[in-house]
Parts: sequence; structure tokens; C-alpha cells
Amino acid sequence: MDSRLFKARNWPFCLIGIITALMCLGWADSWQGLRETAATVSTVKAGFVQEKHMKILARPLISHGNFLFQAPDSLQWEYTQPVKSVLVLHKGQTRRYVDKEGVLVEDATAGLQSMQMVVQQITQWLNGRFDENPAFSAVLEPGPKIVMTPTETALARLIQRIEIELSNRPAVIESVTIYESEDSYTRLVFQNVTLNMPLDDTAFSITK
Amino acid sequence: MKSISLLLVVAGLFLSCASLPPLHQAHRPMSVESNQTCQGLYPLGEWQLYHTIEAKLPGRQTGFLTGLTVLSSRERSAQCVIMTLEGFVVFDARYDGQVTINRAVAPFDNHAFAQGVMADIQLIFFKPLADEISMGVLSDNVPVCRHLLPDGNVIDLVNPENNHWETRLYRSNHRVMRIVQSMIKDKLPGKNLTGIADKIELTALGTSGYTLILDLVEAIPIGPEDSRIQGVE
Repeated sequence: MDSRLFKARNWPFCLIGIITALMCLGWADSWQGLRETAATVSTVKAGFVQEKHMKILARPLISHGNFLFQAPDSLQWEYTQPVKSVLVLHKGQTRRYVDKEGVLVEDATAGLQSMQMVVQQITQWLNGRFDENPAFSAVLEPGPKIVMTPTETALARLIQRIEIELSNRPAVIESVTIYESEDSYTRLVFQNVTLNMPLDDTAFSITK
Repeated sequence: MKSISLLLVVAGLFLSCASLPPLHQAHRPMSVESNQTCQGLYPLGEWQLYHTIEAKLPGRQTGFLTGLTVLSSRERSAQCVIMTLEGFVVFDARYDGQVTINRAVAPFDNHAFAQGVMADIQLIFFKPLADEISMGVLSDNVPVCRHLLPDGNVIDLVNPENNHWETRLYRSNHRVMRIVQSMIKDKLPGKNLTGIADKIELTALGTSGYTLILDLVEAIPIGPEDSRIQGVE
């Protein structure tokens, strides 16, 4: 095959490749870029693996689960292993259900309030609004990575910092690492991310 | 009003006069060491235990958490980390004769809570340190191992059936304070290798009573193996 012909025939594909690469570089270059890219996303579906690292652990605690998001503020955070549970933020309400011997039981404790804050924070990130929570100062670093540091002392006692690694694929978060201290952190790695898949109305309703 | 007060006084007198269930002589007397009931379901050696916790609190509230306990039966020490199901640490404390709180988030951020958690952990996971141990059976012929503690409290270790122990903690006035049911339900891989209970239910009695149901998720042996095989404490 003539190499010049090959190049000529394929230049549109090369161009598309270059444009995509530039988009990938560009989507996480600025807060504005993040917001604009996130605005193109209506739903996110992903699996995740969570590692809990602590100094006292002989080996990290590993959990698996699934993640579902629908813009602007519906979120389902489901653990399938080792403990089955699901946290749902939908229509302004946060609910958590736990599998007890095959039956989903609702958790109705005050402990849920802190999780409500966390899931609301996550929906902000998924809407590309990383820099809008006054409780954190956010810095966009090469990687691309966003490092969020608490601005208030009370919160800083609980969370040292949060690192969000962005994928080169626009609008996709690769991992989130929440540092409670240098040797105690939780890392969530997202897998098989699907964007903009259609969801029906029942996606965020729990069947007990 | 007078009759209610009288009723309360009588009830108070009745409760203060509570007595331990009578201990009857067993048919086959044996030593503490050879008595299965006295062995209980206690992890021997050093372990990392990971449980789900269902907490039934006053006011019919039920909450779910996970608990990580790293313990040494030899040292009688434990570190306890309580997390949300999503892995956020809400309480982290250590007990090695005294309680040290490493981290605590409201509503877990008070010393009384930490003391209570560590007292419950000792009751569940450590063999009682008794001044005196007596063995026998209860009126229903269930074997019991009675421990008289240095502070005057009493712990009865009852063995109603195979793989099921009940621990009853009585105050020095003989009122029951805590009941712990420990059992082995399933022989799953990674569990019950050395007789660690895979389901524990602790009931704290009293006006602000609560129930904790612990389901074992993972038990990882740590430290030297000989401490577990030989049952060193």
C-alpha cells in the first residue's frame, strides 16, 4: 500500500483524534471548562471499587458497588460487597437502606445527616461545580487533578483534603481520595463509566 | 399521686433486692479449663475483626454502621473504629487499660460514649478476669460458668446450645445490666477458623437501653500464629 495514499485517506481520522485529544486536555483546564463539559452530561453510570486504608489495618478494607447519577441532583450510591446497602439522594431527600438477610431496611438515624452533606457535595462535583462550596478551597492541578482543602477548622479536623483525579475522557471522574489523615484515607476508583444513558423514572426508587 | 409514689418505692425495693439465678450442682463436675461453657466464644491472640453494626436505640431508631476492632487477647487491648457504611470514620479510640480517643465526630464525641464502647468490647471479646469462678447448671439444666469480678459485678457465661453462648453481666446488686448472645451460624471461608462468633447481639438494659447486632464480615488473624493455636491470653 502507498504510504502517502494511506496518510491522505486517513487524515480526517487523524484530525478527529487530534481534536479529541485537545478536548480532553481542554475540558479540565479551567473551572469554566469543567462546568461547560459537565453541562453536556445528563446521566452517569459506573461501577466502583473502594479501598479504605488505615494505619491499624492488616490489609485495606475493599468494597464494591455501583454508582448512578442523573442531573441535576439525583444520585444512587450502592454497595454490593461486602455489605449490601444503598444511599439515595432524590428529590431533595437522602435515604439509606441496608440489606438485612435479604430485606432492605431503612436507616433512620441522625448519622445520615453527615452523609446527606457528602452526597450533596458529590452531586455538585458531577455538575462540574468543584469550586462553589465555601467550606473548601479548590485548586486545579496538572494531572488533571482537583485538590480540595477545608477552609474551616472544624471540617479540617474531619477531612484533611480531597483529591479528585479527572479522566482524560471529558466529564469523567477517575477516582476520589478522601484523606482523613495522611495514613487514613478512602479511595474510590470508578470503572466502566457510561455517560448519558437514558434512565426511566424508577431508577432512583427503592423496591423493598 | 401517693399511690404512684408508693408503687415506685415498692418497685425500687423489689429491683434492689434482685438476686442471681440459683446455680445448681452439675451432674459431672469438671475443671474450668475442661469446661466448654467456661471457654466461651472469645477470639484468642491478635485479630482484626470487621462487623456490620445494627444499632437499635431508644425511641425506636435503628442505625447501621460498620465497626473495625483490632484486639489482642494477650494484652487485653483493643482499638475500635466505627465508620458509616460508606467508610467515613466517626469514632476511633483505643483501650489498653485506659481509653484514648483518637477521633470522634458528633454524636460520638464524648468520653462517656467511648468508655461505654470499650466496656462493651471487653464484655464481648475478652474472657472475664474473675476473682472466683463457679460452675453448675441453671434451673433449666443449662450449663453456666459464673465469674465473680473484683468490682463485685458478676458475669454468667451460659451455654444453652452448641455454638451459642450467652453472657450476662450483673451489677453488684445483682441487677442484670448487659446480655450478650454470641453464636456461630455459618461455616464460611475466612470465618470461624478459631471459634470467633459470626453473630453477636448485645442488649444494654435500663432506661437508656440499646441493642447492638454485630454481623461478622471479616476476621483476619494478625500477630504471631502460636498465640492463637495455643490459646495464649
